[in-house]
Amino acid sequence: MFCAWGGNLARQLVGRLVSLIPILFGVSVVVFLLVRLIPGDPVVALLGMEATPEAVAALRARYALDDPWAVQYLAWMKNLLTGDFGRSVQSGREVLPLLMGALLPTLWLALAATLVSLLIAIPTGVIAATRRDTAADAFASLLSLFGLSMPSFWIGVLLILLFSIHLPLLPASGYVAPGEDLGRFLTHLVLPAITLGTALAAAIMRMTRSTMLEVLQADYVRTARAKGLPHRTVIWKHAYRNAQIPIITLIGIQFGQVLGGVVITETIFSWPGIGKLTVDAIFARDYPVVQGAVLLTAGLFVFINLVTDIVYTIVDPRLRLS
Amino acid sequence: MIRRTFLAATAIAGLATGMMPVLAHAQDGQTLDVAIVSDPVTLDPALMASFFELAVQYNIFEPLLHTTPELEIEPGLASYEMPDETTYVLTIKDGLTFHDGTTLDAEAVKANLDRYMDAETGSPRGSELGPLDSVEVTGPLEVTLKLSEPYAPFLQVLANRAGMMVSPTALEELGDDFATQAVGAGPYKVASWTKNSELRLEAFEDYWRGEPAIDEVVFRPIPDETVRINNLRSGTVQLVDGVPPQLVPQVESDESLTLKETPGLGFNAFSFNTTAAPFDDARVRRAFSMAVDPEVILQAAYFGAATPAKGAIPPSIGWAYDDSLEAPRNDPEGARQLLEEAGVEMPVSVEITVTNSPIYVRIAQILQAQANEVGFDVSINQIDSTSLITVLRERTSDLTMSPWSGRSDPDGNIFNYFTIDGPNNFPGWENEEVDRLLNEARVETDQAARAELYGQAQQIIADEAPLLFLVFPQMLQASVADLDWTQWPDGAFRLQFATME
Repeated sequence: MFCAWGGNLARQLVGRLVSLIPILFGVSVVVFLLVRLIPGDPVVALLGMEATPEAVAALRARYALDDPWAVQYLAWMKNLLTGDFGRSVQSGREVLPLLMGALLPTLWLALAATLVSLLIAIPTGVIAATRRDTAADAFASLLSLFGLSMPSFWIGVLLILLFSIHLPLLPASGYVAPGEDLGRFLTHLVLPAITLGTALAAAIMRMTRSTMLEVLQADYVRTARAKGLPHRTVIWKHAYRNAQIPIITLIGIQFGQVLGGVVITETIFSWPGIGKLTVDAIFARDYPVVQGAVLLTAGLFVFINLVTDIVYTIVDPRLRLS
Repeated sequence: MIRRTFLAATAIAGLATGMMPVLAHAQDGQTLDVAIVSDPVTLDPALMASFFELAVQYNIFEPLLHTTPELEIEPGLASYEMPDETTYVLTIKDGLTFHDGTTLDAEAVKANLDRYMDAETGSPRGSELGPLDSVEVTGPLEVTLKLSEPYAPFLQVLANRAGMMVSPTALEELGDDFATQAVGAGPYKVASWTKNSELRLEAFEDYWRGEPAIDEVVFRPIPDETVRINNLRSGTVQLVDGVPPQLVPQVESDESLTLKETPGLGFNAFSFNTTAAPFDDARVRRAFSMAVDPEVILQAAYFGAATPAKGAIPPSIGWAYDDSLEAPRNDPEGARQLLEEAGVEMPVSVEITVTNSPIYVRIAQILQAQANEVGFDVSINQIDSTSLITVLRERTSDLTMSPWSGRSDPDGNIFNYFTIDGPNNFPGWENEEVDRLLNEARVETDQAARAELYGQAQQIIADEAPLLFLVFPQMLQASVADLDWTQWPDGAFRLQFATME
């Protein structure tokens, strides 16, 4: 049985990886065209108010922006296939290291925020479902409504005021790499993780509550109760484990989105992540950076979906056979 | 279950470490953390074009000449002599080196200026250097610059970005990477730069004025203005650029902070599209200008941290500022009459284009309200800043915001905007007389005579109203009280002059 699972998994993995090729190809064409359809080009953005016709012409020629789009696309693809993502028109930085440098902080933030959201959402959701229509349920609903509707720029600034100024415990913003100083990395991580985690928690909590309610109606839960199993065992082993699939789906989707970048949280806390990098690049019409970032994000999203599918088969043995 | 316990344990451990008080991290030597508005785009002076790069660039690069906060020219890396009106002889100080040890001599200066002027570099510095024709090495430490005609702003230009020297060796060796690992001869050298996170600079021990007092400077881009000030209040940074006007009272009321304020070099204005109806008629432009009460904008958008503008030259350039300039403003009754006189169909429907930043949207709304009062029907179009450049150059909107960061010589604020072929002639306005006056002012080397020429040009501009000048914003920066530093009207930090208690 384990072998069958392993074989199935390998097949799935290969299938997904193969399906990645047309997806990424499609994404590359779409992003290449879209970024060129916005008015302005990288040279206009770079020189801004200081542009002179001579300078614009010289830089357009240097970055081959006068070539037909098809030629530009093929040149980009040719380089991509050799692992060369090109250089940022704005800063002259190589795109791949630039993206990787921004992806890591975003990954840490996404992991920490997801952790925060799970710590808040799963217990609250389960409690809300098991004590349906009580004060606890109402309070949990209120909490999630709060989390969903409070904009993160507001929560973020409030947290900074409270924990950096009134109680000077945590730095107001910035990022320190974990390899450089783990303690300072963590102090810088706390506030953005809570800010983002609160927003993520709300949706997970609502999902946990509704699927738990559904599962709690199921026959096997009634049977478990009838057998006289302790309440805790019924809730966590019988009901919650069966409610996990939709919750995991949601976490997977949210995590994928967060990896694509959370511009507002990153901006407030000056977190050097991929979201802000991408948005800045779009504003600056920095074609190579935008194209690389979108490709990378799309690839990651597919990868997270794959991981989510694998997690399904771990939490739900029934899926290993199908 | 094991998984859950593990996660919970890591979370608690993380929080426990996280809650420790923030400690100052530099033990030996002083570190100054500076909050800036946005990450520099490039560290190559040839391609610098962003206003916010000003905060950083003078710390890494040293210009050939130096400007005082009063905008007086002093020797910098070099001193100058003018044997005649079109010849400048620069004598470079002996024994200078760049951060990488390369000798800063006449050859290096020539290489730099030639690079800025080379069309292939595509550098805006080329046009700033104006009629500079040739750079000759006339001694190991002497270069002779020949201009094709007199050019009054030249010394200020050499004290600005076009005078910044970079190491020719590094330029060659680093190639495309120079933009991120810049090597200059300024007070600080680049130690590391993490995009959107921190730009770390170390004191340059061989800096020509002597090693700077502060050992390390870290520039941190903090785009959110409230968070920027909160970082100063919490002590995470000790110096901030771009204090938002609405937070000035908060900073001023805090005794541990110092707010510095000086009239800036730039202006905030809107360009009329003078090539199409309705603003091809000067009377309609005047009428719109007369509808505007700049005092309202000054208070509601700038919270008082600006002075009303009637022309392009700000009060910070004292010798050229014209206090007596008259411009059509704040006369709604006159505006209505003028519109009737012009015989346009009312309400005159016009579109204002601004970037989607809160302050500009607010200004656009004020303009809308005031202009609608006198017979216009104003719609507001919000776009991003790159699209704005396209709208300005292609003149696709009736009235478009066109703020300017400003230059220390008045020519930099006015020539490119109002000469017929000027690259910033966004209004598409053609006035032979103004064109002549501005070209004359450029070659006139007597300051009083230049001021007179600018006065005449500005009065025609004010009357014809191709641009709607609104305000000269103040430069607002703040620091912890322990930091002793000097503010320049261009907003650039020059931290070789700063000391910390």
